[in-house]
Amino acid sequence: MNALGWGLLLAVLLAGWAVLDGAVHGGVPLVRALGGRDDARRRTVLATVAPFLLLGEVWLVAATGVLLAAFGHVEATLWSAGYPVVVALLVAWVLRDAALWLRSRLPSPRWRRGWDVVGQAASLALPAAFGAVAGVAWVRFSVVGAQADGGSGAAQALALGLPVLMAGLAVAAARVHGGLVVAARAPEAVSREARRRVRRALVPAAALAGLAALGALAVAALGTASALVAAVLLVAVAGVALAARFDLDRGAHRTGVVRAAGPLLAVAPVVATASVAGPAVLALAAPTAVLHGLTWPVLGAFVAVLAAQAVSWRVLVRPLGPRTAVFL
Amino acid sequence: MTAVDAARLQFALLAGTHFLFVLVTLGLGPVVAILQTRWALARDGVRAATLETATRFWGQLYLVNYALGIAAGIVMELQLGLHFPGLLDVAGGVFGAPLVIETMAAFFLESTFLGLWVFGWHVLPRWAHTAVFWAVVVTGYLSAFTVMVANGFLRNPVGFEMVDGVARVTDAAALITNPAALLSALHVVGACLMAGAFLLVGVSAWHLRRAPSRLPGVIAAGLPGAVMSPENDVWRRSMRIGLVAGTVGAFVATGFGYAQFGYLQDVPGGDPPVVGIAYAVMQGVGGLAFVVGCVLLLLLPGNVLFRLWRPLRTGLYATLTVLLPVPFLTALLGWAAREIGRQPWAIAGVLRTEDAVSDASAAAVITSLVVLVGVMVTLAVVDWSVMARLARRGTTRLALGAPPVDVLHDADTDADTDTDTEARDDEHSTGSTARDGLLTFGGTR
Ligand code: HDD
Ligand code: HEM
Ligand code: HEM
Repeated sequence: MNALGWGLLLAVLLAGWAVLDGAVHGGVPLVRALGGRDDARRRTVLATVAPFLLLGEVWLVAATGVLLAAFGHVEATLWSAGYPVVVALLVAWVLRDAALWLRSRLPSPRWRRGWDVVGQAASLALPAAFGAVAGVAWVRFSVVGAQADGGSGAAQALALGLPVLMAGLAVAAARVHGGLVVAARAPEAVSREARRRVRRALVPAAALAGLAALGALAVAALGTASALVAAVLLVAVAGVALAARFDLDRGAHRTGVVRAAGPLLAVAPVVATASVAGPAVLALAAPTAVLHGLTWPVLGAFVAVLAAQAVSWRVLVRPLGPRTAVFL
Repeated sequence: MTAVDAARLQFALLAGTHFLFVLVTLGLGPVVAILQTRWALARDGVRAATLETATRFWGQLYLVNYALGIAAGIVMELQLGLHFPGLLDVAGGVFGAPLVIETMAAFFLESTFLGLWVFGWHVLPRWAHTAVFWAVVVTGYLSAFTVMVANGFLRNPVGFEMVDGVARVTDAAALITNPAALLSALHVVGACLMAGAFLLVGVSAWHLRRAPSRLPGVIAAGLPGAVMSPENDVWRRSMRIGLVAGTVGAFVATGFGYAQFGYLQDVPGGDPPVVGIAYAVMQGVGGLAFVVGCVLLLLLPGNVLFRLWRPLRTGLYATLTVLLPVPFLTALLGWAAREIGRQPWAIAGVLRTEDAVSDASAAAVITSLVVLVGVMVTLAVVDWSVMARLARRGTTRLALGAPPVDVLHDADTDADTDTDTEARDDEHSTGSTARDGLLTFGGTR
């Protein structure tokens, strides 16, 4: 596999994470809102996203493995430019995991409600931090970074604005996506309320995608042509979000548009980042000999993983029922 | 403190935390797998019920431990790039290879299978469910081995050449058969088995010491076999497995420990006092654990161990419980010896540690040290206290593998948990189910 192949693998892994773990990012903040003070109800909401946790977060672990082996310089650049947000990402991730696994282990209501607050905060912070890292990648792996260092005012404004914008987009996207997953798996009483919240989240998500498209246009105007692709993609996603809102307003929640809106919004930050930063990232790939040497073990492993995950999803993703295992 | 010191300290503290979880994951994993296999194969109903309870009890502890083990591992992985980019610049091609294989092959599969095991509990056929857990164990060991290959390369770099200051693999087989990877990995396996065993034995002994006082409750509940409660049976079985695993573990750790001295003579590195202390402690603990383990194993036939003279028995149980942390502390010392013994090198003889760290400012690194270590250590302590509570609570109210309705209502029976543990199971499923149609699950589609 050449650099492009590794780059695609990286993008696929990140996209997989955004969709699978994104369901958790968006679902967990609904636990308190939809569950109220009733613990069993809260756990029902948690149970809708629980299988996505172990099977989803590991996609980002794998992505960092690929980053480390094939794009070591990219990782070093990104980490040093985005040091505080990377640390924030780690802290949010760890707290999110701890909150989900530990909340139901002890019966005390105070213990459980406390962890629910932590889980909600961390589940918002996690996509936000990821979005911010993606924004830093837009800056560092396009002309913006160099121009900002060179003192250009417009570039400096973008260097500050893009991470914030991407953070917002990632959070809004997760809300829509997670809400739709909860709505699809939960009992009717819960899913109606989840859909109401999705409806409200769609317009901000579309707006943020539109703003991000403007940001991409600005990056393109400064000289990184590949950002145009990102702009087009983001506009399209914004359109899907608005169409989904239209469908939900009509009370039609099983249309293809509604179903697609969640995953599309969730991957939008990843795909957009891949098109802005892709060319520069590929240029920084590890030497060809390293990439070739690792191709077969990694691809073979990836195929095995896909098979295992496909089987698991078939077993695990069904509407909640008496055979659902409740653990979180 | 300089940025270099802070980065090293941070890495050491977080690696140590991660490794404490890893010890339990790798040590308890095979035990849970064996328990579940025996449960799946059991014909006799009572025996199957006991083994099921044992599987769920230890499986639940395994999971609560695992949760933070993953979190700590994630921190480790991102930290390598965050603080030691020099390591990747110079040896990314060598050192990155095992790590990417680890994440893509081992962790990815391990997590997937574990998710399937927990959340597919009531869906998968028993045999498939058991096989899934074996897959978790195998991939877990695989991932540990690949990390040891990466770390072994740092301790004893082989199978590479330097081209323009960058290391390139020339001999992948040498990388894998590196004694610093192979012997150390086997040594670590011994350490993990010991740690898992001390946990099994310590917790079981704690319960067995209190077992007689529980008997009246069991009789009152009208359970059969009032002489020995089913719960007591769980602890005796766990104790037996633990003693076997611990003795085997001590043997393996000792054997491969002495084997390591061979290659270590030719490896560059310092020889600070902590290394000598660690060697002495490891030899003491390993040797003693093996001898005592053998003696206790001899007491198992005919259940002699469980029928010893009462004061002697309770004294023994208390001692076994108190000794629980010993293999964990020993293993940390072992790692400290390995890592500190390697200094001043990050890759022995190739790359100095101070040339491997990032150029982040000291202030930034110290901040992240305080934040990350603070968060991780706090969570680790909380996690261990939860594990201690669950271990003391014993086999009642296990969430893992229970029917969803029971699990959802476990908080409702809050009040009576401390006083009365045995009779509760049948009360609570009737009490509150009707409150909300939602909770019976799955009426909608
Ligand atoms: C894959 C690589 C790897 C692995 C598996 C481990 N370490 Fe490590 N360790 C390093 C890679 C490393 C390192 C990044 O290379 C460090 C940082 C600076 C250095 O020289 O080595 C290091 C430093 C380091 C130090 C400080 C040594 C010093 O600076 O004086 C200690 C005490 C530990 N580690 C402890 C551990 C423990 C308890 C581990 C068990 C999980 C562990 N390490 C696994
Ligand atoms: C630089 C060193 C290390 C890194 C970067 C690292 C990374 C990781 C990561 C990312 C995970 C989470 C994987 C998941 O999502 O399932 C993990 C878990 C794990 N690691 Fe490590 N690790 C390191 C050291 C070690 C060592 C020394 C061992 C054992 C010898 C080990 C054994 C394991 C095991 C068995 C797990 C499974 C989860 C658990 O124990 O809770 N790791 N590690
Ligand atoms: C007679 C018994 C033992 C001997 C001779 C021994 C010897 C050693 C040696 C030579 C090292 C390598 C240090 C280096 O690389 O500088 C080591 C490392 C280590 N030891 Fe031991 N050890 C023994 C028992 C134990 C026990 C009982 C445990 C834990 C329960 C343990 C845990 C470890 C760990 C975790 C490491 C670091 C990983 C590794 O290098 O394998 N050891 N030991």
